[in-house]
Amino acid sequence: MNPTTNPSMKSTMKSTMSKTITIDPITRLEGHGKIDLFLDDAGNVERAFFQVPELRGFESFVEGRRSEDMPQITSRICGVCPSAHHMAATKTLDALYGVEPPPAAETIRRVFYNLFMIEDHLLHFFFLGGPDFIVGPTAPKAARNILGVVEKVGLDVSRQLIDMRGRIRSLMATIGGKPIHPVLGLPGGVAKQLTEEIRAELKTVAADAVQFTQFSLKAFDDIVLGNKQYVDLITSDTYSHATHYMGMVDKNNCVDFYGGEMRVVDPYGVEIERFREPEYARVIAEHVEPWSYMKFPYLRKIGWKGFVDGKESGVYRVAPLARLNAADGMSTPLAQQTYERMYKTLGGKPAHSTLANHWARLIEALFAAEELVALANRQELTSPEIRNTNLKTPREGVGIVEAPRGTLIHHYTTDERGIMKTANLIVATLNNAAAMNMSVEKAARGLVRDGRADDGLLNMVEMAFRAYDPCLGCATHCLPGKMPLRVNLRRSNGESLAIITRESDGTQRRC
Amino acid sequence: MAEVLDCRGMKCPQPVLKAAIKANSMAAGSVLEVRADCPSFPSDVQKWCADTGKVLVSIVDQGGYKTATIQL
Repeated sequence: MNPTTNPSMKSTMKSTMSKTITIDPITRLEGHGKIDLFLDDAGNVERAFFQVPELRGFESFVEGRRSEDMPQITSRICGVCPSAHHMAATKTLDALYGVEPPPAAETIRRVFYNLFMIEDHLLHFFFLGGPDFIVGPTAPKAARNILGVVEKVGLDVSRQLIDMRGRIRSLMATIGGKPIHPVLGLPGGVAKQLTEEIRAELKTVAADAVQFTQFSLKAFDDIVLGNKQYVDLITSDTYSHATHYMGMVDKNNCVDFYGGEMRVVDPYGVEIERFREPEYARVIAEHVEPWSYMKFPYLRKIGWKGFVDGKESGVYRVAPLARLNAADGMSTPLAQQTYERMYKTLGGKPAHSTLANHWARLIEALFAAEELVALANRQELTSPEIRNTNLKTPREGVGIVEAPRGTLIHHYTTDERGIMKTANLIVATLNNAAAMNMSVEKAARGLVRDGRADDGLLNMVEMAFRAYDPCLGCATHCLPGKMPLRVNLRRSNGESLAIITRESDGTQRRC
Repeated sequence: MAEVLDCRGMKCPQPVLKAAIKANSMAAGSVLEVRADCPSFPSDVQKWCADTGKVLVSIVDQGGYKTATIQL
């Protein structure tokens, strides 16, 4: 993450003679990225690029590793969403070894996953995306962070937030072995049976989480929805794209994070695709651009038409708002009430307002808390039948979960010993890569005019990607062409001798 | 003559995973001997045999590791 409070890592804005504005590094996200805005002669934005200059490359270096290590290896991709990768990898191992986990194992996995969804969504709302609204989009940048949020909401609320996340992560450690990098998932089950003591603790945490997520929604009501300027901002065309939406649904077409079918709806809400894990490659294809380590997935049946929205474009979106758009509702009562209210406020479904992701995120946190209450009462939760060891010879497996920031797909092929031959990771942020670029460009065009761009305006450009809660560390596994490189040669006194650059097509320059 | 699978140094669930993969390539009725030092190996291999209809002939403590003899 890039804290704005660290002076050495503050976003820098530089204008050059070629009329380029660069925001580097962008802040309050996982990973490293930058935004380049190219202005025309009138000082208006001609093009904007949301670039990811880091490379993680997990798809390549897991080749040759034991497949059963994948839940541990892939959870190291990222410190924010390790649980999502752990669970996607575990589900992929189920498919790879041809085993269905017993009911108790699935319930334990769902408990662990819902705990994770709550704490991660709260992390984004209060620490990453929330400061833009709670403190203000054009507030001084030194205040647009968690400390500014603490000042705004008060110490009592801040203590409650820290306490809630702390208790959730402590319970995750009890169930999963560690709060991050869990060791819970095994092919066909889980590693640990839950006790009645853990059930009792879970019931308490779940009940408190319902209260706290409701409180968070109330805070959103008071601070954001109670401010007409904010509502106008959320519903403005500057932050809107009519795209396709994808999300996992249960048998009643309600939002499901862990297991179910994938559903894709068009910009009018009409279902155009429905598929299970092994079919993902029939639905999704990936486009590569030379200027980013991120690939750009799109809907195969429509095709890649560039960075454009609409029914004729293959660009689709994932993440909280997309999940709610792709579903018919929520399966828990309180979340369903807020779901209905959100669409009423936004003028119908599907909602295309990118910034409404913040609202959808809190609705999902409430849903996860309510579902935890139900899971805590399931009889099988403490059953000793937590593993199905009827393992088949591995060949190929696909697993999908809904990560906090959207659909996460793992696809492995192995030899008959279970040694990894290939891995394809289509992570949430990758699914949103094209849409994030479009959102940044549209926001920049709407906000940066006549060459004027102060810190507040540029933060509002950043808000366009921040609403997606991107995780760039998870998303950069592609190496198109040669790695772009810039080397500054200096004398020991700092005097510049030469700058050597290599572009992604291999072209080298020295100046 | 039993086939031997040495899983010493591997942690749960790997010994049983390796045993399952190996067993899939062996004929019914043949004997597989699995050596492992993971503490949960005895209970894991017992459950695997029970789940998959294999006969756990014996588990012998060899001092530092255990040997499970399984008839497929």
